[in-house]
Amino acid sequence: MLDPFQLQFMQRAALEIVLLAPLAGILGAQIVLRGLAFYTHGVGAATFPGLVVAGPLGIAPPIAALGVGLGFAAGLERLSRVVRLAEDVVTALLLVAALAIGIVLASDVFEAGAEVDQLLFGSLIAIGDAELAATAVALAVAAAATLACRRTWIATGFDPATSASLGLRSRLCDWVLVAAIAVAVVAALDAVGALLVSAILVIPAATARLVAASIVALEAGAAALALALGLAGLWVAYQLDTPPGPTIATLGGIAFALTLAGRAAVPAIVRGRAR
Amino acid sequence: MSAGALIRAEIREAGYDGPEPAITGIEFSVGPGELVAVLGPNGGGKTTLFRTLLREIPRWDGTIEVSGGIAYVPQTERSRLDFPVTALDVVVMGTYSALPWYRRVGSEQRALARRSLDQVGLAGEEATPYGELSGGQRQRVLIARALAQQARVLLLDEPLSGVDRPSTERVLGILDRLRDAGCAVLVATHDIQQARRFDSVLCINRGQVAWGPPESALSSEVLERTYGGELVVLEGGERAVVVQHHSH
Repeated sequence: MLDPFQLQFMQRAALEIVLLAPLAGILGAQIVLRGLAFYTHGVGAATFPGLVVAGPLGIAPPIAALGVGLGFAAGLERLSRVVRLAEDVVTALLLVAALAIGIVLASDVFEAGAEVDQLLFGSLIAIGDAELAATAVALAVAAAATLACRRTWIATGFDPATSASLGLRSRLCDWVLVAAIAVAVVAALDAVGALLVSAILVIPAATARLVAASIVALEAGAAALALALGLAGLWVAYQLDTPPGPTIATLGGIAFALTLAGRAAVPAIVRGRAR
Repeated sequence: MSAGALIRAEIREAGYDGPEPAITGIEFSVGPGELVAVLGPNGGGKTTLFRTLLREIPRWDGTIEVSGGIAYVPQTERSRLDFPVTALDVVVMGTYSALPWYRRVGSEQRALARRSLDQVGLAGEEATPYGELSGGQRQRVLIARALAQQARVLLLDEPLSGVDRPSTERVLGILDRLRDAGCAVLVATHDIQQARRFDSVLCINRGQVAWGPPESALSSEVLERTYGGELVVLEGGERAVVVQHHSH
């Protein structure tokens, strides 16, 4: 049953999942608690034009993607202030603009053709040393950000209006969070692509949030689930010859639905037995 | 700073983005063991005054001197009830600022948080999820969080609104103990009767209307200037304030 994981490309893909799982735990928890899921999806989509131009311009794809992702974050912050629109509205505007520019660049300027699929939905089975190294760097960045800011993220999430009166540098740490998410998104691109980063960074944490009673449990649950879903998705994709990114996303959706149904059913069963 | 005062403020003006300041001309000083009621109508600037004292207001002009640290207890409805934290987790947040970023929360911080919970009569609730506590208990958890900051100046934003009578009594008891412990405590409130038991009263309505001991500061003229149309005179001459709860 585990035969596919004897293959070198499958082992590399599995290692990529192992490196991404802690990101899904520590940052995924904050994404879900702070309502940053749409921002995460937006950054993912925004990296698409960066990835399209990276090859033809001779820029390393992660650098190009990160540049565009951070530009998206800065543009979002600036535009939300200047035009006084809700952040999700500005996110939607920037997301559509980034996708449209990416498609035009890919189809009419650089004629990227079939590669577009890989950029949008990932290419987990084509992971090389450079991609693994980039994910390891992203993990180190996220770990450092978490060490410095996790407390402030939690206090600010609990009550944004009073975290400053607790002597915390909430604005600075919020920026660190937004930047760390952009880095994590870039790391997840190889696995699930620009359109499905939520499969790694949002769905496992959203699923764990349904049952986790503490933030530590949420982080651990999201990381464990990301690992399990990633490896299972990889195995299913190999067996069924489907693309791994969308397969992982589909399994994530199923896991969320089952957890939601289980959460509703368990108290009902307990109540039934108590009668 | 005047001798022995823990907080002294001379706020010429303070406000947000608009051209008009939200509050102007507020001047007072509070010493150790002094309990101050901050009275004013909705929109009269009580929360703005507190945010100014915390130096969180975008635009302000004046002088604020604080000795021994300042802590703030917000209105409970501002905190998130769906957040997966226990009462103890919330109180531990009060210890964060004294801890260098590279150090983890340890037994010392948790012990301080437990003592703070005990001080507000919630020693048995440390593992209860914050969202499952009653409104009065949540208010006391937030007071415990401020106690864990070990500040000598405490600002409480309407700690008595929306809490049941037993919790009101408990909160008033906590305020008395803070006074006995030598803290300077400023409490925003709508309740004129409760304000009479405080040491001093600061009446504001976008500016300072009166400042001093309740017997002189709570005159009919001052209350009418403070509350205007919101003031209702009850039978027997007692004054009550009609308050429409505002959402944030």
